[in-house]
Amino acid sequence: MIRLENVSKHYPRAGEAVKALDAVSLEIPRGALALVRGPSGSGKTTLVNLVAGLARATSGTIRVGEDEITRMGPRQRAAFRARGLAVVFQMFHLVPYLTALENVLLPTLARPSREALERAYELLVRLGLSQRMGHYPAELSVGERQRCALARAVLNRPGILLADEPTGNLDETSAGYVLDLLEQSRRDGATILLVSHQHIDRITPTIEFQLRGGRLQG
Amino acid sequence: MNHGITLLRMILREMQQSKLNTLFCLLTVAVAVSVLVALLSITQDSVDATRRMMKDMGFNLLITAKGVDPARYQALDFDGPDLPEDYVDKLVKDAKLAQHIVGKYQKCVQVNGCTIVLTGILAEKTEAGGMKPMPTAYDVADDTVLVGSAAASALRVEAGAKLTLLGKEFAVKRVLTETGMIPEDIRVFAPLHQVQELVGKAGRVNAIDALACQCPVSAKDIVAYLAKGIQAVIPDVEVHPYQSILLARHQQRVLVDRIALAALSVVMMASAAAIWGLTHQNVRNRRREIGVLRALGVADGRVALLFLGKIAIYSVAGAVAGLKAGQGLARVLRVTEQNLPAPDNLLLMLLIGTPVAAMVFALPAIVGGLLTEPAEALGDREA
Ligand SMILES: Nc1ncnc2c1ncn2[C@@H]1O[C@H](COP(=O)(O)OP(=O)(O)OP(=O)(O)O)[C@@H](O)[C@H]1O
Ligand SMILES: [Mg+2]
Repeated sequence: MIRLENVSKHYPRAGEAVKALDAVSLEIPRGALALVRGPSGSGKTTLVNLVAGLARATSGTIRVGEDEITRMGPRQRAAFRARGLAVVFQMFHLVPYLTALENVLLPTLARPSREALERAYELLVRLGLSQRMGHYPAELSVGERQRCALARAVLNRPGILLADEPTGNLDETSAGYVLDLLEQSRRDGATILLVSHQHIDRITPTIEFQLRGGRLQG
Repeated sequence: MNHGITLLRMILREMQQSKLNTLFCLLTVAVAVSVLVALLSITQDSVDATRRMMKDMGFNLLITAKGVDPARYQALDFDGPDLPEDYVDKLVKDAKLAQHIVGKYQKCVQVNGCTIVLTGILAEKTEAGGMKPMPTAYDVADDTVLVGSAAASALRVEAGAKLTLLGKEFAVKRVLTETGMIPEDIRVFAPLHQVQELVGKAGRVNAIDALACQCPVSAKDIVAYLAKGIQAVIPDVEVHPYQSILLARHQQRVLVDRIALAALSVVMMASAAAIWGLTHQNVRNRRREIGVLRALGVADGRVALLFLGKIAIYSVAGAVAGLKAGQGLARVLRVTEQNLPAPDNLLLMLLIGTPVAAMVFALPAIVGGLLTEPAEALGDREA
């Protein structure tokens, strides 16, 4: 379960602060697939960063399961992510000097697992990257990088998966791979927060939110 | 083909990829270490050079029985009170203050109508710092003598000739080069024990020459300090320093040490700044990588290890390269072979000390890179 109460994120600027998120309250039940939609600049990435504990909220409380992450320091939040929260970044953030396969294996640095190598192969095959495992990010197309980032996120079977525009750069076939994998995670019991500026036909969210100018609509 | 990912693998990959950064880091360490090694060699060499020079100039301390006037000692008819020979051994054992100790018994004798100073001389003894005694110009084997230049021409002898002294025959091993000083040039050096026997003074010496070592006191107190220290070991003696030589030696040593220390501080500060800067740059360039690892839940300590490990690797390589370069540099600067630092113990110290120092220099830059929130480091704005 993910619960936000009155969460705001303001970026101080000369003049007035940018209200990237403004008093947002929402609740995503355990095992649900929540879709948050909103136009560019509406605060979607900000929301993902706050729930993942990658940034501090200006005010409000965020609870993920038993943990109140708005009370945690940076170390505790890192440990919390290692325990079972993963993010698919809008900008992928692959490590440039590691191959696709090595990038997918990075979560093992936080939480080692015996089956990681086998699972990494399996995921890359499933995402249509079997021929790209030894390639460096610069040698991959944007869509291939996106899929690689997704494989990395689900490697350790996180209980909570936050996906920031995971299909934003993909054609229909690739988007299909990605959405199937998200479905699979959902079936495996993960709570998923999916963020997108567009409507996604192939998926039926448990719950849907609209963001606009940092505020939740209706 | 692939067996997972480890910090070490990442470090090596990153070093391969950022070749220029790695190269500059390695060069910084190598240059710093080579200067350190060269300075060590040069100071050591200068100490040895001073010591050698002092020996060539003569000893700088004269130890005699109490009440002996050093001016009288230089006079030809010197036949003053003497000391037990085992004072030499006592001094050697307690040689914190003096080294290169030579016991002598000298007596003016007439040979074939000529006056010479028969000087019995004991092979040099020293114990300080495990230094080997350097053979003096005056070492003589049994039944042989070294003849001063003025004495040689008066007695008309040269190397290989026979010379009878107080009824005993000696072989002339060598005629000494002229010094231009009278008591020196009319000396005939023979083994101490044979001279003692000839003059009936077994087990006695009447002068001990020594070279004062470096003293931890200021120049003006050095004479009193030495006298006190030596009299603590052998009480009933008088210490006559050749003051100017002593002071010159002391001051030269202090000066060399100061210059070396100043040069070393400059090099250390420059390399600290360079390593900090290079690490800072590396951390900045890898902000997003740091952000991703932290976003994946990797602990800050492990992220720091990624940088510290790299530093350890290039520091060790730099230390080895620097040691070689430093020895080369010392050779170019004509440091004598024996004063090039022995690689084994120095290498070990460098292999430990260099990475530790480099990590300390780099730490602020690494910690700085971990202070921001991951989202900020990821700076989602750029692709
Ligand atoms: N570090 C920052 N400093 C100042 N303003 C920021 C910062 N990060 C985000 N913003 C602002 O906050 C608002 C929300 O940004 P956010 O990245 O969450 O939008 P988004 O919904 O993800 O947009 P997109 O669909 O284009 O990715 C934007 O107006 C943005 O300019
Ligand atoms: Mg966004």
